[in-house]
Amino acid sequence: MLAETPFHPRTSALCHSRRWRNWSGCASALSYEPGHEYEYYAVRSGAALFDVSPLRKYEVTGADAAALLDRVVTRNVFCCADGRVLYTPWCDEAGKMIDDGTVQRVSADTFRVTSADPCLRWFQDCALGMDADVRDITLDIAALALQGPTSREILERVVTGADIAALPFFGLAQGSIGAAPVTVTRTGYTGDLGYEIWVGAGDALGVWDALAEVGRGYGLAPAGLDALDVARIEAGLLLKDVDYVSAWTALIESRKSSPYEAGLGWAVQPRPGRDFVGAGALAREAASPSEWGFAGLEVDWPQIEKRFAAVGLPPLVAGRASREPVPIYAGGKQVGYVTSSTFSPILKKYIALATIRRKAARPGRRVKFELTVEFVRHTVPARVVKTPFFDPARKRS
Amino acid sequence: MTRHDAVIVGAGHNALVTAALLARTGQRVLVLERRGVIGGAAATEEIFPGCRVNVAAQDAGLFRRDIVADLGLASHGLEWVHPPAVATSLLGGADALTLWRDPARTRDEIARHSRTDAARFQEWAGYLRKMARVLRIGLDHPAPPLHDLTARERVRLLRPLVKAARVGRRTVVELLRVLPLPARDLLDDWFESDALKGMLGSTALLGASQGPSAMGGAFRLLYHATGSDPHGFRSSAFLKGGIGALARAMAAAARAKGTEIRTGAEVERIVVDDGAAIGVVLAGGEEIPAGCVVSGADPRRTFFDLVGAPRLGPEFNRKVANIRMRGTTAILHLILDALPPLSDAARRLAGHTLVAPTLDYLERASDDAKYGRFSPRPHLDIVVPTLHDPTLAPAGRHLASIQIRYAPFQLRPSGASRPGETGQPRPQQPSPSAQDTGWPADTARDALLSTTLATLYDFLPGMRDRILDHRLLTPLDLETELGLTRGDEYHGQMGLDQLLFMRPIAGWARYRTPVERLFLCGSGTHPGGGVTGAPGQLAAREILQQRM
Repeated sequence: MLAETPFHPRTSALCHSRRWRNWSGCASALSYEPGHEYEYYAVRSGAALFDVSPLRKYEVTGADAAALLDRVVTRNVFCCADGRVLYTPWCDEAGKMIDDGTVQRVSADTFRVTSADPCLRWFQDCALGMDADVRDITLDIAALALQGPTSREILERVVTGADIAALPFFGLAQGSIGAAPVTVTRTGYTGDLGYEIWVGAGDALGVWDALAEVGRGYGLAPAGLDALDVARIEAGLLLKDVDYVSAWTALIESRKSSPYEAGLGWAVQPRPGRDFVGAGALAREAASPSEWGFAGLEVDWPQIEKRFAAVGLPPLVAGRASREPVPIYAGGKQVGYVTSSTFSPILKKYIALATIRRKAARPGRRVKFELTVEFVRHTVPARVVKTPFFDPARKRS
Repeated sequence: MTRHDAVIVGAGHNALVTAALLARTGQRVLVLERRGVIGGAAATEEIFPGCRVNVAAQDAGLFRRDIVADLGLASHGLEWVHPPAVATSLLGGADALTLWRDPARTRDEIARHSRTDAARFQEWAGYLRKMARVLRIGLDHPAPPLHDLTARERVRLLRPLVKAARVGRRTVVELLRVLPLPARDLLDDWFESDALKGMLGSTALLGASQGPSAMGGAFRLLYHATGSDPHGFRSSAFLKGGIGALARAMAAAARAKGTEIRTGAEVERIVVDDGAAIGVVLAGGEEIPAGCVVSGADPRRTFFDLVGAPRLGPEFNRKVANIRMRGTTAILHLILDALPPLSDAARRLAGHTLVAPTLDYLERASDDAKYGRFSPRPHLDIVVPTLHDPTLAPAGRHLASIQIRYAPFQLRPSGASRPGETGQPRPQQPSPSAQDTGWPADTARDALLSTTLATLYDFLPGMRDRILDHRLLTPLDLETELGLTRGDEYHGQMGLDQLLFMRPIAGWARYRTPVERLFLCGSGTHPGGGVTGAPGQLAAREILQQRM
C-alpha cells in the first residue's frame, strides 16, 4: 500500500481525477483535474502548489558537515555560504552519477540534502572517520513547491519573520507560517520563479491551508506530476532514472552516466587538494572526454503535423510529456536517443532532452528524430539547442 | 639523514620478516615499533619481575622453516624446542589423555579410551600431514586476483596448479571436500572417543568466534597443521628464550643488513600525498619520509587510524569496516611455585595442555560468546614455557600462560543477555572505543578470572595453592596493549569468506592498497594469522616485484 504524505488529507480531497502515482512509496497526484493543462499554466502564469514531500531528505550536522558534503558531491560545498542552496549531482568512485539533489546550508555546521532515492548509507559510509552525523529526516519534514510568477507575492503575505522579497535565487531563509516554523528556499523543478517550503510534518496542513487561502487571489492551483514533468523539461532539468540511470541501478556499465555526459559538467568543481568521491575518474574524463554528451532538441513541429496529416490524424504527440526513449539519427547513423520529450505549451514547440554523441551535441547541429505514426517509423528534422528551453527573467530576478 | 626505501609500521613477526627480506635485497629499511619490545603479539617480555612471559602467542610451530633458513635465523640464536608431549587433554580428576611425539606412546594412551581410535590415529596423522601439505600450496603462493586475472597472473598461477596436479586429483578433491566441513563432522568421520575428538577439535577454534560445529572448522584444523609435523594434533614447536626469540633473531638478521629498528616509536599517521604514501608521522610529531610504507598493523587500524577513512573511498571503507574482527580470547598468565600435580607433569605438560574434554563442551563454551558473554565453562589452552626454557623464570618457579575461550571483545551488559535486548545494532566505528566493549569494568574482569580459575581447579586439582601471581589480559587489553583491533589476534577471522583473494578484502589481496606505495604485511593479509611469517614473506616478494 502506498504511504500518504502529511498533506494527503488536502491533496486527496482535491484530487478529482483520482490519478495517483507511486513516488518513492507515496501516493502522489499526477493531476488534480482530469487533464494537467490548467495546472501547467498555473506554473507559468499564476502559481502552482506541488506536494514534494516524497523527496528524500537528510540532515547533516557536526563540525565536519561541510567537509563531508564536500567529499560526497561534485560541487564545491565550501563555496556554499550560510543561507544558500546548491543543486548538485553526486557520483560513485568511478565518477558515475548516483543521484542528484539540493544541498541546503542551514547554518555553518547544519545542512539539509535532498535526493530522489535513499542515500543514507552512502552518506554515512562517506562520513566514516569524520565528525559528521547524517540523519534521515524524510518523514519528519513535509515539503511544498510553490512555483510560478505570483509565488513571491503569495509567500510575502504568508511568511513572517523572513524577507521573502530579498531572497535570492538559490537562497534560504527561516521564518514562520502562522505558528509553524518553516524553511523557505528559492528553488524548484520548474525553471520559473518559485520557492520550496520545508516544514515539520505535524505543521504541514496549517501551512497548506494558509497558502491556499492567500493563493486564492493569485491564481494558485494545486498541481501534480504531469504538469511538473512538462515544466521541468522546458527548464532542461534532469529526472533520475529517466534522463540518466543511477550507477547503483544500472544493469550494465554503458547505462551509467558521468555528470559530463549528463550535461552537468559545470557542476564538477575540483579545486587543489579537494578529494571528492569520483574526483580522480572525473579528472581523467575531463582530460579525455567521453564520446557521449547531453543535448536539448527542438523537433520540427510542422513536419510532425505533416506526418500525422498524411494518414488523416491530428498530431497525437501533444499530450503529456513522454519518457519513452526514441532514437536520434545523423548522417544515416544512430547518434543517440531522446530520454524525455514534450510539447511545450508556452513555446509551442516539441522539445526533447537527449543523450547523444558528443560530436553531434553542438548547438545548431541538425539531427533526425524518430517518429512512429500508425505503426510506421519515420524521421523528422530536429535541431540541437541550448537548454533551458524556457528561461524567464523572473526565475532569477 | 638517509632516506629510507621502506618504513615498516610495527615490529610484529610478519613485519620483521618483511623487513629482513627487504633488507636482504639492499633496501634501506626502518622499523618503527610503538611498544618497548619487538615481536608484537609474539613478544616475550618481563611482565612479572624476573619472569619473561610470552604475552600472547606461545607456539611457533607454524613458522615457515624456509624463512628460518633464508634469513639464517639459527646463526642469530634461534633454538627450537620440541617437547615429548604434543598435547595433553585434561579430563577431570587425575585423568588425562596425552598425544606424544612417539607414535607408540600415543597409541597406548588413546587405547585407554578407544582401541579403534588408537588403531586409526597414525592413519589420521598421515592424512592430516598430507592434507596440510596440499593446503600449503595455496598458502605459499600469492592469492590469485580472481577479479582481474591478467595474462601475467595466469602464468603465475601455473606454478601452484602444477604443484597441485603433482599431488594428484584425488587428494586435491578430498581437500576441497573437507575444507568447508565443521570440525565435528570431520572428526566424527574418523574417531569415536569424545575425549580425543574434543582435544583435536579445539584447534578449529583458533581464529574463529564459532564452535566446533561451525562450517569451515576443518579448514582451521588443517591450517594449523601446515607448519612442523602436527603429529595428528597441530604444528607445535617452542623456542628457547620464549617466542620473542623469533623476533629477536629476525631483528638481528635485519640489522645485519642495515635495518634500523626503533622501539617506543609510535606511528601516529601515514602521510599520503596525491594518493601515495610518502612517509609517516610519529606520535611526537617527528616526520619520517619513506620510499614506501609497509604496515604490519591490521587492515582496519592501518586504513582507518593511520591513513584515515576520509582519504579512502566509501566503497572501500565499507568493506574494511565489514572485515569480521572478533576477538574471543583472553589470556591469563600465572607464576607457579611448582608444576601442577599431575603424574609425569614435566613431560605431559610440556606441550599444549587443554581443557577441551568433548566437542559438546567446546560448543557450549562458544554458545555464550554468541550472546556477548564469556563462557561459564571456558576452553583453556595452557602452555608452561618454563618446561621449554627454565631460565624464563627464577629457579623453582614455573610460568603458565592460558588462552581462555570464549571471552568476546564486545561484552553485553549483564541483564541484557539475549540478542536484540540492547536495541539497535551498533554503527560501524572506525576505531572501536573502549566504552562499547563492557570490559573496562573491574567486575567483568574479576568474574572472568574467577570463572577461569574455577575451571582450572576443576581440571587440575591442587593448582589453587601453587599460584603466586597472575595477570589477566582481556580482549580489550589485547587491543590497547598490542594494537589488535577488537582483540582479534588473527587480524580478521579465519573464516572461509576471509581467505585467499578475499583477505583482507576481495580485490586487495596482493598487499597493495588504494594508496600507492602503501603495503600491508600483517596477519590480516593472505594467507592469514598465526605465527607463520607467511604474510610477511609474500608481502616482501610483492613489494620487491612492484618496486623494481
